[in-house]
Amino acid sequence: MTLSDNPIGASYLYLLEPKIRFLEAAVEHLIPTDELGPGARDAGVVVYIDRALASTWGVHGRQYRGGPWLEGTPQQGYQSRFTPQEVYRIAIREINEHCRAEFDRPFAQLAGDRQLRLLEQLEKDEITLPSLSSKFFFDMLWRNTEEGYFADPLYGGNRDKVGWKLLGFPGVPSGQYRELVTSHEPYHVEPVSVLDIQTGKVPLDAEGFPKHTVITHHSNGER
Amino acid sequence: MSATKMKTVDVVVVGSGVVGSIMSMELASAGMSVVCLERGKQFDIDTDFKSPNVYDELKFDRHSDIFQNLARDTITFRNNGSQTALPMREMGAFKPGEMVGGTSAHWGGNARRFLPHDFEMRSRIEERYGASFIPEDCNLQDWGVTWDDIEPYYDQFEEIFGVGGKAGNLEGEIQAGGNPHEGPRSREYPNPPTRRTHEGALFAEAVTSLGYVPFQGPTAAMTADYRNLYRVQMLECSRGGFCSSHVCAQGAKANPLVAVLPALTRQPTFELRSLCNVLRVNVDSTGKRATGVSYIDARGNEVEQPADMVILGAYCFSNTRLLLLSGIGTP
Repeated sequence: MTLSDNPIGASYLYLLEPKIRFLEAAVEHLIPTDELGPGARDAGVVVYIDRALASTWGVHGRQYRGGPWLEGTPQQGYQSRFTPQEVYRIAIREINEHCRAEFDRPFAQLAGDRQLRLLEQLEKDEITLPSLSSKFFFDMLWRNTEEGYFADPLYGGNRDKVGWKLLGFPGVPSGQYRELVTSHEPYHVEPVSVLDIQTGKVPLDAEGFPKHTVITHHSNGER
Repeated sequence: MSATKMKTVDVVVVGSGVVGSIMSMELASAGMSVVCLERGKQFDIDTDFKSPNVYDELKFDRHSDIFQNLARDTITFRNNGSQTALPMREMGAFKPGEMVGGTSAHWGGNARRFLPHDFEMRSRIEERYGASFIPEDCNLQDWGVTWDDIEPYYDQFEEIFGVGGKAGNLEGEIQAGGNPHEGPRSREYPNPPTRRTHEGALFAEAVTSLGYVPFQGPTAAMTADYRNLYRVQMLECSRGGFCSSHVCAQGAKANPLVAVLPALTRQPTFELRSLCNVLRVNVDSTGKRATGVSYIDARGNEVEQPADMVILGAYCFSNTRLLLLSGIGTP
């Protein structure tokens, strides 16, 4: 699947190269393509991150942004004075600087095992970046990768509902659930997204619920 | 610029959530003039929470505008006295609402009552373990009302919110199928209990074999079509999920929007003013009697609303903050 197959489109609103290449390489380590299906890169997670950064959230439009600015405890949550847009812009640049100093090339051009080792170091806060904690950036990247892989395809990620197919999540509920409450049969259906309904891809019943299609053949076995 | 002074009413209610809406309904239907002030927006229940977008979990778990806009105002918090309280910058597990209907518009519908001992925690613990059991600096208190005081109101609430469940204790008689540890109820739930799922049945079987008594938790998602105490109709839940953090697309989860406001807004002595943020409770020269409230309206003008009675229904944090900003009580 290519970017142009995505009904959301292949345009970027905030991210530019080399940040797109950096993120495609990084998220593919977090959720790799393997025998279970496409990973984060092919699921469109970087498009998701781009749209998240361009959204109200990217500039913390509904988040409290006044002082006091103290580090706080983990339980006190987000306390950085940087918005997510700023975090991505600063951290990717500084990580690439680190990579150039250590290995003569930016993150995206390093060998896969080297990239993975670097991500592990970021996660453990073992790399000291000039402007922010490397773990702080890693945690945001991981959160956004999960969101992009599992949120509705409406947001540009979870392309072809790969995240939901992996989990067996049916998405928008059908009107049959009430009758199925006591059933002990596993419920294997093609997931239905908000995007599917908005684009008229799934028939609706009289009450407006989507009609689910039962999957009879499991090409991927009991994954 | 001096504040606009409105005509005196019997009651001004701050907040239109579960407390504010029910108090408004009870007082307005008793013939009192009631003004309810809500800082949040008015949503249109018939169009704003419809399929398919109501099933967008990313939006409703993290970014929805039914939640408080923290850019404008937030709380600070700490987990113990040695820490520095810091602002809640981002919405997490605690999602205060900011809309007509309040936070309960997106509650999960889990409608349990307290147990009798919950109201008398200090007395019951002292009774059982001795007065020296509770550390001196522990601020544990009894509520000041008991199970017997509150039971009729629990009953009334369940009739308004159409709670479904099975009684475990009816006037002291233990009932099969319900929670045997609950306090004595004056009558059955207004709706039947939820049907047990396959997973629930397996769990119930397992814990029964260990000597426990499983029961279906009470819920305010309608387990049957229901007409409530205010003669408002709610339809049976379709078991579609997307309950907590979401507003139900079918209106099958009771909340002020579907269970109270349709009846309340028909009351001739009731007036709802949204986008009105209350600044303080005004008091008379003795400082002992509330005379109304002052607020900022949608256009940014300061307004004084005199009232014979002031009811704070803006959740414990905002209620406490308003009291302290009004010079009532000490931190």
